[in-house]
Amino acid sequence: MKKVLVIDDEKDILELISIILSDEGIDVYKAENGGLGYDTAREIKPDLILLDIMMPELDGWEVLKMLKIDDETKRIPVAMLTCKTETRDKVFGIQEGAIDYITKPFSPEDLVARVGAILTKANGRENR
Amino acid sequence: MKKEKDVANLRKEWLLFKGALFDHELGFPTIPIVVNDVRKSIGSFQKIGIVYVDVIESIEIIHGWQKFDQILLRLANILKGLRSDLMHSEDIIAIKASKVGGFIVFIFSKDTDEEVDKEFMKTIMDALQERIFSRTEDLRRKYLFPKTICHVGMDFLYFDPVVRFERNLYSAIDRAKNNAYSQTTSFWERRNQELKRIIINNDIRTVFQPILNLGNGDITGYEALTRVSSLEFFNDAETLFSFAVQTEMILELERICRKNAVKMVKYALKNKKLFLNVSAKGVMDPEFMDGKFMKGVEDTGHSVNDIVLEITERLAIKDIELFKSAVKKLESSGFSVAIDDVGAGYSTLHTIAELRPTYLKYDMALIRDINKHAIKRDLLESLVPFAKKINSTIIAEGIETKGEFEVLKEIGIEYGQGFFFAKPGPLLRDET
Repeated sequence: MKKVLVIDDEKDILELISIILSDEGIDVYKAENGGLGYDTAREIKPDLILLDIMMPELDGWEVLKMLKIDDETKRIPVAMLTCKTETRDKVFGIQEGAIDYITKPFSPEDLVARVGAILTKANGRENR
Repeated sequence: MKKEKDVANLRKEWLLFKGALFDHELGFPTIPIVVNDVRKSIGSFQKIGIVYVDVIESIEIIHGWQKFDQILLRLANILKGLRSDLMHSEDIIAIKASKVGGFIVFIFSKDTDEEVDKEFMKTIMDALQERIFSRTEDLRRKYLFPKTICHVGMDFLYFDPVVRFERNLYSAIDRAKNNAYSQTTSFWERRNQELKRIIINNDIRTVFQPILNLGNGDITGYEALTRVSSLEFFNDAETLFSFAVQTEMILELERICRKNAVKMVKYALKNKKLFLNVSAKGVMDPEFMDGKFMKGVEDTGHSVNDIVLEITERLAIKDIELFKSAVKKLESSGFSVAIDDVGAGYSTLHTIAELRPTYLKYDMALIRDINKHAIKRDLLESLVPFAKKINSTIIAEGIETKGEFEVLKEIGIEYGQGFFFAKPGPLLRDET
């Protein structure tokens, strides 16, 4: 079973993603803030992290940086959850090592398709 | 098992609906998704307080939506801070619609079980107004809306079994919004009250900055500067003075500043000069003419010869002849005159040529980095022979570095003041 970790301070979003992805047979782990998210990532080594950008205290960019310099977590693909549509954020994120963007609010179909695509791509890379 | 699945599905639908009606950027829900929570609370309180915060629309028209969004985000953060400090956990903050703005705060109770009342609402409004005012100074200045970037108003929603709850709620929100547009003037009015209070209670602080002879380092005099003691309505002295100009209270304000300064230097001046700031309008204050101020100076053991009136032109001088004759009268009664901020603002060469003041206080903006900017240096150098010709002494303001100080000495500037020598502070009795 694939493991996906969602890091977001909005509880509704955590619950919603959890319901949608569980339906697809994915194991969903939830973290309500950046620090907790980072610890959980190290502990469970998920196949994908969905990371919110705007969070109090540690924001998404800071968590992303922490994940990318840590040998334990640097190979885990990270997709950013964002409410901004500006391309500036996208360019910045790709430099920092994020591989995709999911814009809030999202449709369940879109979320499933994006997560599915990332997981298959990562899988292919592992098998090679 | 199937039932569980149905529940999860319903929950998913609801969360999707909520997600679409939530402004993720600002982090607040919109009205449709909080209606039920508000309805639940009105049952136990009968009355709900509503605060409405509306950003001035023309900011978006002039500066574009990106800048407008930036203001909304700032306000959202101020409101979040307010929630954690002043509001109860059951109170709700919402926005009119996603990406639209218009913040609405629902306040249910005063203390956990007491009904919210007008007084409590006023406390919240005051705190909010004050925080918005003090934390948006940069934005107000940048976007050319110096007084305010948003309107804040309030009203109550009363439980009424006859009217459908939703309609009752929306009309209360509309009332709070309408109230917001009459509140701006009232915030202005409250600042006005505060200024009057400051004047009546003499609630300012006076500090002194030494003016030095750049050649030998001797202190030749002190400039008295005013500091605001209550920061609630005025960020700094500059805001206080410009507000006093706008409300025609500058004469009264300057009177108490002068009085305070003279009182504080009592017996501590020791043959040094005291520089007092006066606006161009203040020059015509009758207290200079009828001898009241002079008597005040003499009562502290000084003579008017020790006093230098530093004239700041806050507005362009309309009637230069009238102004000139007022200044001449001051000089003939013994005061010396300095022109403040030479090179900046409204201090024109024209007034300098007309007045031929004893001192020219050269503006700090032109002193800044004078050791690095050849043009700034040339500019000051060109003023030196002119000052000599009209018998004025140049005082350089705002010297902050050794480099600036050295260039000024090279040019032959006689006097100066600034952080490099001393910050404005209390005048010590035994200071020499």
